Amino acid sequence: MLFFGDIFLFVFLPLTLLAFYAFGRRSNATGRKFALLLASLIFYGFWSLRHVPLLLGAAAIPFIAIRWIEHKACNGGKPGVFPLLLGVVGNLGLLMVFKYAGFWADVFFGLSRIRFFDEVSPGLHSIVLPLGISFYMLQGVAAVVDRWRAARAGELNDRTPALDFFTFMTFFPQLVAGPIVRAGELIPQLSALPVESNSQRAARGLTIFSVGLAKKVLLADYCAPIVNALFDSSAMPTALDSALGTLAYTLQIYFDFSGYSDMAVGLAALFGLDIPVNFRSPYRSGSIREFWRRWHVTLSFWFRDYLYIPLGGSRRGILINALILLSVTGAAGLWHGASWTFVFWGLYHGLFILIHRVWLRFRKKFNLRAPNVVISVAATFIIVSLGWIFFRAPSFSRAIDVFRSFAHLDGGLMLLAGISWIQWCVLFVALALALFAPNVHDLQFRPTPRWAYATGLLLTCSIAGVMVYSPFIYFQF
Amino acid sequence: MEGRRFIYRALIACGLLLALIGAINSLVNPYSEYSWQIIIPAKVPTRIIKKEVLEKAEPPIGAVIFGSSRVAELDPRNMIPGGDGINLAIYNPSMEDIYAMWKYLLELHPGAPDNLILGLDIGMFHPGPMMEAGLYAIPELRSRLSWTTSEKTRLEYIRFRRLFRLYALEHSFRILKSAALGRRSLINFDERGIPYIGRAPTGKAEPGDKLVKPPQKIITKRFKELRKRLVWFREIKYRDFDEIGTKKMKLLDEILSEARNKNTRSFVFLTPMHPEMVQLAESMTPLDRWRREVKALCEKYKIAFIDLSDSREVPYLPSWAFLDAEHLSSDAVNVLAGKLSEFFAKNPRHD
Repeated sequence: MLFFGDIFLFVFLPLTLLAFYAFGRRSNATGRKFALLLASLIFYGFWSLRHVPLLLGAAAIPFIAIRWIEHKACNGGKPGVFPLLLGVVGNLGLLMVFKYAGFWADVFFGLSRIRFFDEVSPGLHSIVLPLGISFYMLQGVAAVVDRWRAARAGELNDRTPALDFFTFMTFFPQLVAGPIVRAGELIPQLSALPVESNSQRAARGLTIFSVGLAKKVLLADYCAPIVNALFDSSAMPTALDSALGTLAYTLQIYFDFSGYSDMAVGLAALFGLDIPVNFRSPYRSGSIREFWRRWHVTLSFWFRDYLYIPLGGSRRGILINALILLSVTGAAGLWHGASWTFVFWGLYHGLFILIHRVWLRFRKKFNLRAPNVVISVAATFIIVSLGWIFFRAPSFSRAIDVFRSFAHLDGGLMLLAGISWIQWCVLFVALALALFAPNVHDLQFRPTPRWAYATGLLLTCSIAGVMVYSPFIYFQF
Repeated sequence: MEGRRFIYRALIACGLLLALIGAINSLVNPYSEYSWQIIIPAKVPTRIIKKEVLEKAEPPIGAVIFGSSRVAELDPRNMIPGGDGINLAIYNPSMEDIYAMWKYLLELHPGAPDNLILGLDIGMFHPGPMMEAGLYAIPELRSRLSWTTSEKTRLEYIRFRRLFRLYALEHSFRILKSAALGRRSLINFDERGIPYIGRAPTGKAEPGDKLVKPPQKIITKRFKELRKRLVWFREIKYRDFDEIGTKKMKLLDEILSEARNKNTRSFVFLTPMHPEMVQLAESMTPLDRWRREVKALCEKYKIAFIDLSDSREVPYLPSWAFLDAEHLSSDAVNVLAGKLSEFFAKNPRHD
């Protein structure tokens, strides 16, 4: 069930909203949470019914760990490391099995040449990746670590209600592709769920949802055929093919993922809940460091708070710090998929963050002026765009083909010769919006008739413009 | 309260607009011949798609169909009893394309297919350079043509292709206009990546099937929209077509000769053309000479041959069986597939 599919828009969402607000009339917050939990399980069950127990199990592991921590804390003690290990290792263990088992078998076989790894590899590769597992596992880990830290600091004096926790872990707007919400952000809202509906917030949610839908359907999906023609082919592209295909992917992944995140924020608002904004116009960043503060913000902050800082952050020496940074960015790359191209993509970004740090020191030392903002934004945009080649290419060899083609500037469009003028327009509009348009979350929302009709029009264009079944890119991670 | 009014207004506006689009669509597209897409997607070159189809094919290959988009909807699996098969028809092919694919097929599958079906049309035999540059973008296919191509040919060809940009631009305007009217893309892809026009192809060979003539109103509407574009396209394609390309005939000769040596049963048929297109080809190309030369070549190798190129002489494919003056409708493709399978059954192996 996709957010832009008929079943979701015309059946699932209206029925869920109806059930949710019907409980409100009877002043029943528990009923609302139960309606949300049930709807989320149905939503997930639409993808794969047999993975629903896995989702509940993945939510149960951190819940047991949290209850253990809370039990200790409420009895005046400090929790040991075991509940923390249960929550973290239990969750990450499931992620390792379902997402990385085949990958690691290949790695171990490559290193040791032990036949056993080679024999089990096909079986491990055939394990079906449960939808959204990378997202809800990270949420579970964060929830356990946060509670453990609070308990160790003596700041924990309440218990997490089971219904609230399971509703948080399975909350369907952000279940399958984020934003990665912290338990501390959503559970207090669920606990204090308003019995009266907040129509102003819901109106804003509808607008944000419409914008997200339009980003996905009217921009990202029209870039997709250009991208596929470049990366899914085995033919050698021309330089223009590669440049255009790379630009198209740069825009596609942004509008696809930020569109999904906007829809998630909008949907949550329809239920009276706030979840964090995931994208803050990342292509306007003046450096790679800034880019990661604007792109997939909740993931960047997760890696910062639960990996980078615990490993030592920037408190160690330059060399150790560089190693930590590269390890974290490499892990962030691997989080996206069990493939070396993703790891390389992560390391590529880590390297440019390091270069930026060196540049900042160099500038400070020699008292140099900061470069013009246009130059720094353009340079960052190009670096990020080139990095996406590794992210999208199905293999290293294809990525290298694309890079090699840049060296040959002759020849026009070959693989992308079939691109229509409307697609050119979509590319230009998408580029202009990515670089210059205000972020929808920064807009001053006004519930005027004009905004309402504009929202209705956007919603219509998006619903009528749905091309084909085209799942969100981040669903695969 | 303001928020609630806002939501009502937005949803009512959306509902009314969707109802309006649906109503217009039901008027202009009553038979759902166009899929629900606003903008035509970038066309992945069919040569690349078919090269990949070829690479994925597992031997033994029962039958292979080569030809243009006119035969792209034929499914060889339904036409040759008991055999598997693949359709390697591509958009706007030249004999070079077919030759390169044939050579690549033999290299990948030295055993050669059991049956070779060639659906030829006059456009493939233009004496000038090829129409589509796609072949040059695929090293595996390009290398099979090293003796027929040169940098000069390639440059000529790229110049020639620019003319087609105009066609593409005009086509895009048409799509936009269709979208504004609630209609969508004209070109789609089936689950195997094979492009088709209009409804999804079935390629079912059902001997004895007859076509049902749709209401005249529908035929007229369809032709008003598509005829002008296709005639214009053909006029460009047939420019300077005053003789049959000798190199192209040589390539056909070589394919048939090699198929014979490999003990592959071959069939050649000239693809059906709409009466208006027959008239256009007669006025701009040596159509009759081409028919005679292909027939003579087939007789030389004792290959089963059938000429369906003049739909005026093929009663089961009347002008209204064409979807757009160029391609047959899906129902007509099924009828054609049925007739061809009967023809194949009547023509045993040439040895």
